[in-house]
Amino acid sequence: MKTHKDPFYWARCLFFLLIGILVVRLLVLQVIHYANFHQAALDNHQQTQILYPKRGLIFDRHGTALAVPQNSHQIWLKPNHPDTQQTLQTLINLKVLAKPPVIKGSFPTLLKKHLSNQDVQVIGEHQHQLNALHFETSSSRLYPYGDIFAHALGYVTDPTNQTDAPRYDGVNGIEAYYNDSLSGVPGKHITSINAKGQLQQSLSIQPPQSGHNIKLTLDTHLQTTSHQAMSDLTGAVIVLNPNNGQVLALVSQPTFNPNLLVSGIDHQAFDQLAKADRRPLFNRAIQGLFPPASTLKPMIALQGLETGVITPDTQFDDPGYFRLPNHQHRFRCWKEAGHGLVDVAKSIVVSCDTFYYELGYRLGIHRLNSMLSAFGLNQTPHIDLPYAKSGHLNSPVWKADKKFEPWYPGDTILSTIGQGHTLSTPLQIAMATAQLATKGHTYQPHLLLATEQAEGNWQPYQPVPLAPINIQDKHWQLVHQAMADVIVSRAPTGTGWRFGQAPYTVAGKTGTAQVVSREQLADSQKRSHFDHSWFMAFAPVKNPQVVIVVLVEHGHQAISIARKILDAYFDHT
Amino acid sequence: MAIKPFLSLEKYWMLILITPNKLKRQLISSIKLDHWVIGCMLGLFALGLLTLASANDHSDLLLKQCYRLVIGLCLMLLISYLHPKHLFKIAPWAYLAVIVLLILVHFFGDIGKGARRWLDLGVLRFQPSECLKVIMPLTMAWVISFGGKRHQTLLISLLILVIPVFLVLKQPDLGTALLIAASGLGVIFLAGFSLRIWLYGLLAGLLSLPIIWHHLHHYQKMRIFMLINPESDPLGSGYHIIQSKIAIGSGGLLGKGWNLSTQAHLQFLPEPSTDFIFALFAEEWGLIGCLLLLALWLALTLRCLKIAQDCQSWFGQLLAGGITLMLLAECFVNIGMVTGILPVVGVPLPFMSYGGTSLITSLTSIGLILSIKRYRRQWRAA
Repeated sequence: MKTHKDPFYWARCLFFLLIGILVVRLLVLQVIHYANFHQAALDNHQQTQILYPKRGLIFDRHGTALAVPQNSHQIWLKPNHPDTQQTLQTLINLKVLAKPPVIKGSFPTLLKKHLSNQDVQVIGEHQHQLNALHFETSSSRLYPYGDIFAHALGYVTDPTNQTDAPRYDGVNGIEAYYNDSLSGVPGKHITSINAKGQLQQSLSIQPPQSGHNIKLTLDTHLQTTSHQAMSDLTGAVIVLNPNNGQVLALVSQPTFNPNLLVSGIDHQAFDQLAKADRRPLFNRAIQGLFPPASTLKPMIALQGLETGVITPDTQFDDPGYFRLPNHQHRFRCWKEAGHGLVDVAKSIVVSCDTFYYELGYRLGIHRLNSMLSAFGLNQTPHIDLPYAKSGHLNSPVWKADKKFEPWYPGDTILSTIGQGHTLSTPLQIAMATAQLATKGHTYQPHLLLATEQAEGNWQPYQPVPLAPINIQDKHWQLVHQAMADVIVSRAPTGTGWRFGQAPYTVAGKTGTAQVVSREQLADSQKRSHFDHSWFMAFAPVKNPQVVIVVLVEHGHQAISIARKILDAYFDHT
Repeated sequence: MAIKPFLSLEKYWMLILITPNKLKRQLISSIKLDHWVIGCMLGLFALGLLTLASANDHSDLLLKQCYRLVIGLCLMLLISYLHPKHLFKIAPWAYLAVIVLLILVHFFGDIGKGARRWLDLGVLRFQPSECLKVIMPLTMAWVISFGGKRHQTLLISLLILVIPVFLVLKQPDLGTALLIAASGLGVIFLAGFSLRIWLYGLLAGLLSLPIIWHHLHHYQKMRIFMLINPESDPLGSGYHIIQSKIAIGSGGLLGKGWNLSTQAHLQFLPEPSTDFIFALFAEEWGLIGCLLLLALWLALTLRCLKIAQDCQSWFGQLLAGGITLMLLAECFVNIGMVTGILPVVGVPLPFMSYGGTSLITSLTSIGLILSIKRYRRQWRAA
């Protein structure tokens, strides 16, 4: 009966075919592309809100707040929302937005950040017309002391500029160095919404973990005094405790207002700041490279004594210049008339260049540099700030590497007075001073005093000792005494006489870094050709508690600034 | 003591108990329905009601559907007792009546969702185009079994087919028009005209495609565009099909579980009770549930085809076959539409979608098939 021509046979085949097509289609949708559709269904109804963690606060050593939270409001446009047009029109009518935004794909679009209080109020009143709007409040950063701590603290970025991991990140200073500890871990709040964007239920909450609060070694009073003492000069001040490496004040002038950078200034204003003549964003204290000049002399004197090239009684004659054997060139002392017979103590007190030319010539560049390296002048100090730079000592290897020039005996002579190619940062000089003050037993410089691991549980930072410098105690004593005489000696007059009489004892050393040659300076009236002035000191002379280094670019005020700051230090404690 | 009502329910149960077993057997055997057809159909109804319960928070809708179901089943039982020879007699008159109603719809019909489909008769409000789903196979079966396997018969039957299809297309209701055309052609196919005619027909159909395209409404053209590339307009015309595919695809192998749909419950899926009920079902029951559903459909339609084949009268064969084809075509068009292989045409899924008209039509169709089974022996047209 049933031949292949029977229409019912073909109808049955057709039925199998049609159902087969549907089965294949369902296999494609439900098995092969399951992952895509599963995700699409989740994307449809799950909304993830990032819960910002509280960023840790920053305090000074006495508990004064240096960086505190401040609320910041943003508005976002939900993607693919049916009420998008109405919402945008309402925002424009309310003058919250100036013009419609560019909407890219199906991502939330940031409409405006750092809303004013008035904007927030207006949006709250018209919420029912703004269905496609997502309002978000996050904690921003406020620096109550503004520009005073700018170079030490750094600042944080604007989180709304990032799309993948929206959180505040430190860009510079302490904020950057301790970013991981300060920032905490963001949380997530996943909610379910319906097709109209209305909230249905909360699916899961992963709470954010707050960042740790930190206490710094900085002293607000000292920092403020240092900032004010520098006033509108260009330069840097570092005050630290040589007995544990705690940095009490770190100032670089000119400075900037970090609050402006947090709230997001435009590119033009930022460029203006970054490219300004005196470079306010540049942290001179840890990055500025300057000729160390006469600040090296106590260290070179120590090397002379240690190696036995000179004794405390060795005297050199200073006719006002030094001449290498068989050379005509005169290396001049800063005092044209010369200092006459000079021993090592006097050489420090009057800062006699000729003495060091002679000493350097006898020591040779290698013995010279080995001592300066021991004082850390050839390496980056380990400080808890990003982007610290290292100066370098001029040496035959360095000169061949970098300048492709041979070494001349004159290079050694110039190195003894910290000129030529030798450069140092103020922090390096401060650390060298700390080594001098502690007789070679100081600690790594640091700004972190303690971290709050849990509520009220402050974990103190453990100072790390630096490699000790082994020098005979009598030589340390001699140099300490000479440096004390730099301030107080009247016959001969110490180069630090301007420091004046103080209720505490001070040991110091001045430095004058030449920017151009003496001849050029004499003709020039340009401020940018003026010498830089250094002043390094520790006090009291016995059992030093504080080290200070002041650098003033193109000015001579380093000593008087140091006086103000040390006065503040001893008045206060 | 409370007085028991005179007509309490218990007493009726007692009636069943005291009925003699012989009489009971006679009563039950007189119903003589096909177990396969009834079983598959009730299975589909059960799945449909389950899905409807998930689609709606309120039980009103579900109760209403149950109520209609009971009425529909009674109607089906009644129709199963209707002898096909009566159908044979009323076929031409029913056809003429429907044509008249369609013309009335064209002038006086109510407009719903942009199309003129409804006719309001005061007490009853219905779509004459729905009736065609039954009357078309009936008329075609009548014409062919009356005229025999001749070329003239073929021409006349095609003419009879084209008039209502054109009228429904004008409403406009592309989905129903296509289904009616499919069922008419199905009857012609089952009549066994030679293969060459089908080739000519196919050729003619292909040639007329541009003309049909030209006469389609803009929204119908958009639906076909959307089928090819729904992502081109995710918030507009493509929205329905994208959300439906997401619902089905996200069901995966085992589904999200009953009443755990996110696409329908959070209102992403449009029309989860009516046209898109399959998407909701697929989301909650996964591929396993879908295979069960399709197996029920295949079993039901193959059984109906068997009933058609076993009928000794040609009219009965053609009628039952045409109706079966129509049911499967509806199923295929609906599921094809929600899975995105056919354009969105607004055809409900028989036995599952919420809606009275569709339910009554489907049950009438099953009733007719059961009647053909009951009176499968050869009879002579009066």
